[in-house]
Amino acid sequence: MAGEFIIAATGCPTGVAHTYMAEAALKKAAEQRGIEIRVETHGQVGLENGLTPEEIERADGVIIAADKDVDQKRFAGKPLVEVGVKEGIHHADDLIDRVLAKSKSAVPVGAGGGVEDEPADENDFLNVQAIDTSGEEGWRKVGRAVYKHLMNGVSYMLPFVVGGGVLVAVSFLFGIYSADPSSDEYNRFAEMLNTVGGTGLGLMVPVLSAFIAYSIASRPGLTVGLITGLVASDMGTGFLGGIVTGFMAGYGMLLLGKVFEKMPKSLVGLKAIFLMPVLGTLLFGGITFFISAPMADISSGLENFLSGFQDANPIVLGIVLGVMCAFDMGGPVNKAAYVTGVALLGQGNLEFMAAVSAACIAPPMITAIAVTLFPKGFEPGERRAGYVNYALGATHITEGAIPFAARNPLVVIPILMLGSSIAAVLTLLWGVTSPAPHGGFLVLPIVGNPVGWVVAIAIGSAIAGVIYGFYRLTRARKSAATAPSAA
Amino acid sequence: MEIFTAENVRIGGSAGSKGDVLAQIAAFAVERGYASDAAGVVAGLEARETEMSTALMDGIAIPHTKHAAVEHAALLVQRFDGPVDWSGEDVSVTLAMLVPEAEAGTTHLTLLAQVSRALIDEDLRAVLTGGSAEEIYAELSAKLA
Repeated sequence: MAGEFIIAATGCPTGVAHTYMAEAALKKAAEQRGIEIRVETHGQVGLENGLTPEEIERADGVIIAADKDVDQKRFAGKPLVEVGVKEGIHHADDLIDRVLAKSKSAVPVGAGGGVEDEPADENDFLNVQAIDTSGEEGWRKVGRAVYKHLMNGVSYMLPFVVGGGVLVAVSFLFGIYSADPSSDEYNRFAEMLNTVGGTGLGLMVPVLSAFIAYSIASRPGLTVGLITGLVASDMGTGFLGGIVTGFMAGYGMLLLGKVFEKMPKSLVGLKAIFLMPVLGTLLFGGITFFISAPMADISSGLENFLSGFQDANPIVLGIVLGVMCAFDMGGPVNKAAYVTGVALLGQGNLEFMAAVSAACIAPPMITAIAVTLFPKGFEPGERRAGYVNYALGATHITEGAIPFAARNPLVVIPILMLGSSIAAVLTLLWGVTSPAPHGGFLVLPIVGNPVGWVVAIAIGSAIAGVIYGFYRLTRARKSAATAPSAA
Repeated sequence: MEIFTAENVRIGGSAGSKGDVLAQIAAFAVERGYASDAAGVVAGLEARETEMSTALMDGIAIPHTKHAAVEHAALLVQRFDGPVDWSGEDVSVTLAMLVPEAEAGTTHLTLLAQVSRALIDEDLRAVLTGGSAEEIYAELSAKLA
């Protein structure tokens, strides 16, 4: 196969001889096969013939033959063979075979440019590594960095949503009350699923906060970001609160670190293990505590407001419910709608609950439909998580949509609100009733006008799903167009 | 001082062990005026060997060090009458590369890198294992040019 291009890095601790022998061996082996190769050497004199980003971009594969660190991060996403320097000298030919085999079995890069790229790390769901913050200047650079920190948090949060959400969803298959020991449906295994899965879902907001902060301020940020995230989550701020605490903890700890740089040398040893965690936790945990405190009041205020609405025009009520449920998906506003629904259920108002459920089921469904219809608009990891949202949506686990919303709340939340509102309005107009406070489509047998309910949700989700998917596709195309072309 | 001269190639002689070879290289370096502290040179070479054996293919080894005991950069070639056990491999030819610790410039390192690259060439290895002292000098000094 003609036109193959391999890059390599060689290095050894002394850097006098082996580094260069490996270089020569690799070049010779490549030359004999008519393959183009570029080798950088990490010898005693330092880096020579350093690979350029363009060469790395163009390469079909990377060989590292080194007994020292050669900064592998640059090669993220490339087929890579890594061995000691002696292997490079003695088995250069084999190494070329191996790297070419890897490059052939790798997922081909599609026409969509950067968007189709599998991230180097299969656990880097949103390809956060690839978010380049180096090219911009001034405020654009800051904006880009903020985006990268947010994406880092979302990327770590995603598996919690999937792992926790799926377990909770499965627990509902045993009956929607199967985790409640006082219910007839009680099943110990289902309780386990529900407890474990619920814990996973409960960690979403703390993890989001923690890894936004980690991305900004590394370990000191992680500590305070996790603590503040859990405080915020426990106090009912929802994921929007987690974003706030993550950025506060991250930038706050950076600032705190700067302040401590000026202190006397005798205290330096105390800084990392004592002063930073104690003062950071006190300061930012305290701020979180006091700004989160009004959440409960906001919730109960909204509940009162909403109860007064129960007999309002179904279109108005549906829109209010849709907007509230999709606003923060588990936060104080969503909760107010849900709690009101449950309270009214107790008073015999089954229509209200059906509308709340429809509005809560729609957001994950919207994201699932969007990734199905517009796969090119999403990162591979995100796409797969999107498919899982069919299951989460079907079981009323609104949280599934959070990772999608958290990426760009200002645009995505209004789209989700639109879909939820349409679903809720149609549910009310078609007189659907639901006696169950959760369970999603699993409670269909006891829902009044089940077909109307499903159709209402499907219409709302499809409209918003198309809008959201189209938005993502446009953005992906735009970023692929502005990204440096593969030269 | 020249890094490599015709006198830096020595054919013949015997050695009982790898340690013996390293000691002979150090003595050779002192004799040729590249170092005065033979024990220091041995220590440097041994330190490098403990990291990883420098034995290559075809009975050739490239013991080397960047050490304070080295006063001037040197390339010393020696071929023994019989092979010695070099951490499990038979070695009869050594290309010793010595670089002073304090060496600031990269000239000598670049030259030695040239020689290292050249060792991948089978023809050069054949000369090292079978050629005369003159042939070895001619081939290697061509690589150092």
